[in-house]
Amino acid sequence: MNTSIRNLTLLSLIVLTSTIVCAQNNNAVTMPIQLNLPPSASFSLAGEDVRISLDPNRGTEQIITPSTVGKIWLNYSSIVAWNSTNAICASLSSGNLPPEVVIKLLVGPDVSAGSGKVGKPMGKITLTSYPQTIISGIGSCYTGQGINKGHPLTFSWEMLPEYESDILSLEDLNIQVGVIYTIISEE
Amino acid sequence: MNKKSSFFLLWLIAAMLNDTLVAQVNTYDQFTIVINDICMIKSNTTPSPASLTLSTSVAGSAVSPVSNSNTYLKVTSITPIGETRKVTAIIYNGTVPAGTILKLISAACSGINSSGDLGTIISPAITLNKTANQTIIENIGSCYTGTALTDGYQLTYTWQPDETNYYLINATSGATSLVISFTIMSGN
Repeated sequence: MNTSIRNLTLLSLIVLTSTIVCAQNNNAVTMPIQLNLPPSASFSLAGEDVRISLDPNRGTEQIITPSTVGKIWLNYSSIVAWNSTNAICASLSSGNLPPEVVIKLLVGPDVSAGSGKVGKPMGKITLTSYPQTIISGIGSCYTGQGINKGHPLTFSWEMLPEYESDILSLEDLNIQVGVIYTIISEE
Repeated sequence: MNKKSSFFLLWLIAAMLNDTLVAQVNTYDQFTIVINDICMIKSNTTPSPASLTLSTSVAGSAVSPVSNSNTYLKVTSITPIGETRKVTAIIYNGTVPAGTILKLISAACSGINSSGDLGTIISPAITLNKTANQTIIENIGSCYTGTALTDGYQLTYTWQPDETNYYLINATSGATSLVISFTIMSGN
């Protein structure tokens, strides 16, 4: 190949490669991600079964048993939708509770072992077989797990004034009752 | 010496000199090589699109953090002398639900189909936001990650509650969709 043809070939190569030299601009990419947050709630009790004993020296006076403070704790976790709250109700279930005997439940305030919008107790109630709200206004929160977390439950019992000791002998009674707790939405 | 002998001697010398006097001829070819600056990124998810769900499981406990590692970043890079590159991430569209935090961390590039200067991973995980590009991989030089589904930098998203703002968490009936943008740029 003579010199002029070779030089022409080289020149055309240089010119052609120049047009391919351009900046790559595929330097960004986007990716989707989905985040799901359904409403959910769960709760449990921590502590021991409550045993309430009769004080035989009290006679016909209304009998207030030793305090059950520190024995049972109510823990819960809750995720609620906007402007919605949950509540916890309690009722008596099975058992052989005589009509003269009344069981009362007092729920204490949350002890701040968790975080979020915990519920407020409703005060002392007399447990019946119909559900009654014991904690209200539960938002998105968690109380912490186990004893000394969440709300302390205090049970007490009373004898109604109509109690007649010669008909009803409390020593013979071996009362066992169950308490059902349910969590509901307060929309 | 007589005439015939001297002629023969001359011819012999000439013949020997002919063997050694061979001309050397060289040719040259000159051409130009141009290596382009290349800076490319793409991504894919496998086996399914990235999706996370927060839900209570244990009564009394906060919702547990959840993670997804289905997203892979792929990179091809040719850098000029002295330049390195970095990959940054930012929320391009959508909002992280109130009371929660979305974090992101990259793994080192898989070694099977990759080669070159693949950079270093930033640790710990970054908290994604909408306002600032945050670096997740830096000091990338000339390299490639491979193009198979599980080639490249594996990204792990972690979605978790914000403990101090837990009360702000709101359940939603539908999913919240976010779009995350990844950019490869000069790191100098």
